[in-house]
Amino acid sequence: MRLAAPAIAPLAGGLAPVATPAPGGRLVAYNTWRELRAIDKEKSLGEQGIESGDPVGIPQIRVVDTASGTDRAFEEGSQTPAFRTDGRLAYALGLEPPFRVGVRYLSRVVVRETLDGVPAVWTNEPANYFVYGWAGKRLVVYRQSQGEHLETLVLDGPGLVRVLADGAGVIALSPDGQRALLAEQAVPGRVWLVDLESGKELSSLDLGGVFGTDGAPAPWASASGDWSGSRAVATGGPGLLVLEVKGNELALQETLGIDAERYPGGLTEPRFLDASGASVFASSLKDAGDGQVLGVGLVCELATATCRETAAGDPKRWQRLVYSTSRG
Amino acid sequence: MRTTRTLIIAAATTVLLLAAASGATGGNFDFKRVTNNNSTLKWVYACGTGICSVSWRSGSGTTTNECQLNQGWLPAGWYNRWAVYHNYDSTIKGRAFYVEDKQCSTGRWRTELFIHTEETASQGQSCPTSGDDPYCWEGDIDYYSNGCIKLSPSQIGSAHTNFHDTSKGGSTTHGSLSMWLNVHN
Repeated sequence: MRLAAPAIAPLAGGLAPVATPAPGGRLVAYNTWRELRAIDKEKSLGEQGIESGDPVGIPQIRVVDTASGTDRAFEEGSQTPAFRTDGRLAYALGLEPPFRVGVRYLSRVVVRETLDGVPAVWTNEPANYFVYGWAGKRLVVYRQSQGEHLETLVLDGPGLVRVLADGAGVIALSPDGQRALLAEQAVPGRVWLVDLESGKELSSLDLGGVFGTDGAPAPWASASGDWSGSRAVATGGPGLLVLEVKGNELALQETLGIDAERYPGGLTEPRFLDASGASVFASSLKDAGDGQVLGVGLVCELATATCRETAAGDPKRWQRLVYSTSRG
Repeated sequence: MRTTRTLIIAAATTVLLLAAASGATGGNFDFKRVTNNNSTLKWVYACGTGICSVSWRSGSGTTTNECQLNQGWLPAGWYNRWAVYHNYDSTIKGRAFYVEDKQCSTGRWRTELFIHTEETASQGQSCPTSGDDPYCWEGDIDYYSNGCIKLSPSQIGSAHTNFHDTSKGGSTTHGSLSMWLNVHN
């Protein structure tokens, strides 16, 4: 099946799925991007005649029916869709559709009870929001500010906004949607488990302490991983980190290194391919020589520590899984 | 028990060509990415018949994936400067040099990027806790960032002085300036 537009999320990146299924799996919501200007990334914007305030692209959610093939567009300026188990759809909606360079992309988080419902605003203040996912009836949302500083918020309902973590992103929500596994973003090393209702920290793991101080680059963990049963996976440090979560106890089970010269960007968005937690899919950028990179997917078997590459291609259209971050 | 292994990956490679980057004519900053918390920022300028430079230790990001929002180091390429601040007072404070947004190879946009340090709006230090305070330079860990280039407070002062030095190809202005920063490996 061919989508009406390429699935790509240039503003949210890997902070949220590029495409996410509705309950039942027949409908899939995905991010698209209408480029208003072609950009040469090697050159400065000014060299290309692009000044601060100039529009360069417009995000827009589309929803495709995988059975019938019908594909409908939501509002211009919409991005990061997340379905709740009852079918409600949350997303961020830009105050003004175009993204303008040098201007923070202000938006509101809105929720539709049905796809044709009226969007209800859940946030109080306009900000640069990305919806991460639903945790039961709560919504977990990112707010990004200067220097790409990230806050993780919990929205308990319309206008009920609280900061869960400052400077951290979500590795994954617990399968029951009651807890979140977080990773510090601007300083490497710490992951921790938090109760979403109370905001209370339940346990913490300092990866710097786990790895020791042998002069190697500091280990880190990244947001956007996965959690199945008592096992969680995150990208970071040398490649993949496999974490064990037993009750509220957190332990580093295994690290799986990756060839940093061949895959200079490491891995992103690791997802368990089934409930057993035996296989993981992750996206990566591969060094193709002469400074060129290709987007590639890796399917890794944790038991044997082996991976196989999926087909490499244009990094702007690299392979990312359709998945849901929502739990509970 | 925790184990550490290395992933074995079978794959083929494809080689493509990349257009050469252009160069600046006046003085410019040059950020050579080495590691996230120990890279080099230089002020590069013409002197006599050659090229001179002044350099400082600097850092950027917590990962080397330039396309990873909030964690990847500053993407490669040329940047214009948008503004210079002495007493900036927002999430970032104090001396801060605002550079252009940048689109990386996957099409993702890195935004609200600065060269800055950890200090208060009045260029002082605020260290109320024994942990990592956001407006306090505690040491090497502070070279890490969400993506911005970071210098120590003394280094950013020196960088500011040098890019204003007209004898070193600098400019006395604080507004936008083209071809001001080159980021590369």
